[in-house]
Amino acid sequence: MEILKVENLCKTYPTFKLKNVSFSFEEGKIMGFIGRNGAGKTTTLKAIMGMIHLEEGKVEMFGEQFDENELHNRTRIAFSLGGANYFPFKTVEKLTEVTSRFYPTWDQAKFEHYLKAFGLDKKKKIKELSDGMKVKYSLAVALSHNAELFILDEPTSGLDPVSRDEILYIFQQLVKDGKRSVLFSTHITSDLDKCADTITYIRDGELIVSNKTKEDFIDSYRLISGKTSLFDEEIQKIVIASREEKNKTVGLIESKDIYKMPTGIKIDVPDLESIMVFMEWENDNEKFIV
Amino acid sequence: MKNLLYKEWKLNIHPMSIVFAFIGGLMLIVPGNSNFLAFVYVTLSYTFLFLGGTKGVDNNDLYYTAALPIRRVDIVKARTMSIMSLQLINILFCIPFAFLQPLIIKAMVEGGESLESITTMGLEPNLTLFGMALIYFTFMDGMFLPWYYKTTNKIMVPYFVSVFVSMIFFAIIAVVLPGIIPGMSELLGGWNNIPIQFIFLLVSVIIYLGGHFLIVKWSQKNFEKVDI
Repeated sequence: MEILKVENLCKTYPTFKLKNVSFSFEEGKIMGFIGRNGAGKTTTLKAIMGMIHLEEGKVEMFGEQFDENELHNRTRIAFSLGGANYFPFKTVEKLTEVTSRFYPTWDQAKFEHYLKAFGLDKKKKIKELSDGMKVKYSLAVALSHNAELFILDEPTSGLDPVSRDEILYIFQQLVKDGKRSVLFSTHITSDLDKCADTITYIRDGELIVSNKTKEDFIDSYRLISGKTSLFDEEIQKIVIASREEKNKTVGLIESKDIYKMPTGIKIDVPDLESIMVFMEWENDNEKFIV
Repeated sequence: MKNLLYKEWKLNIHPMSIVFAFIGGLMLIVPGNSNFLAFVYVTLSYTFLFLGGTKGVDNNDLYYTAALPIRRVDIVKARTMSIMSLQLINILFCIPFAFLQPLIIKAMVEGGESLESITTMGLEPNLTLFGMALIYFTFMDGMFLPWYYKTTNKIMVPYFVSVFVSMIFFAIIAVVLPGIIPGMSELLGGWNNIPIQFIFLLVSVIIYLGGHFLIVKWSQKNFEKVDI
């Protein structure tokens, strides 16, 4: 079943435009929502949660229009912008005591269990938690009200590698039973390598890739490299983006074009980071001309 | 709504707000003071409520609240109700000091102080002044809340302008007008004419409740359009 479906989300700001963003994903999956800073990830997530007003577009959740049964749907969602950066001078215990009142399905025993499992001290103030602990706290709260859909904006941003790995491991455990789903935005491609089932990629407010499996996404592109002299006009027409690195040129092409490559050009399978870097390079290279 | 009000009191209302409400009451027994100031201090607590922060740290209340299973309109209603509760606490704190004021003035005069130097300015802390305080609160909230809920990210300008303008308004109705309108002071001031003062208070309560009902509606309308 499609747990989330967004169609044609459009929003115009003075300096930014969200253009017809559409994607969907199924329950039991982890979807990585990637894009560089300012690409429109947070705007999209806020639009899904009804925090911003759209010029166009609709959001379906749990098989129904989100705003038709908004209050009930919201009890089934865990939404967080970053970690729990709320009420920094309140203790975990106090903040949770208030939060729990809003959820009829709140399970205090479960919360105590996750506090222990995640190594959280309920007597600590929110400001005393590390960034990683704040994310874990958000997850503990969400799990305790039995959230089914986790919408998390940059949960791993700013975390050290160990904390990041822990969070990504928790995500994988979350979806194990096939009933919960995670949509998380990130600009760190290694997060996706580690745990995303599908990828949605946004650039300049526009989706480049929508809910593709990681394997399919990677399979769509190839990394090419070779002597700069081999990159003639014909190749430049095919290449998505290329740049000179030391004595060679490296570029990205669509897999369907590999047969057009001349002898001497090395073809490799790219990683997610290379794809993202070249995609953004295609978009941005002008500004680096000095 | 019950949960939202609980949240307001547990997370948003700073203990200093109660202190401000109490200090307001104390103003009534400061010799030579203007009585209307008793109701002004409580508006300082708006900064805690809306900025959130002690030590200048934003508590990101809007982001926290936006993630909860609640309706936008209820956020505005709960916030307005917490402001009203602080105002009523302020009024409750003022009542005993209002009774104390004439006793203190009497004792000081008997102790040799000149009546002119210790008499408070403007209307005495009677039913009329309490009624005017309610009108002042309505004026202040009517200016500030719809303005704040138009953007939610601008607080200082709406707050300071509203405080400044409403204070001037309050000073005019509670201090200046009784001094220049013939008979107003005799009719609404002092401790006589209780029935007329009571009617004035009753009308003020209606203005306060009706006004806040409209303020909530207006603010909700503004907040519905805001991108958080």
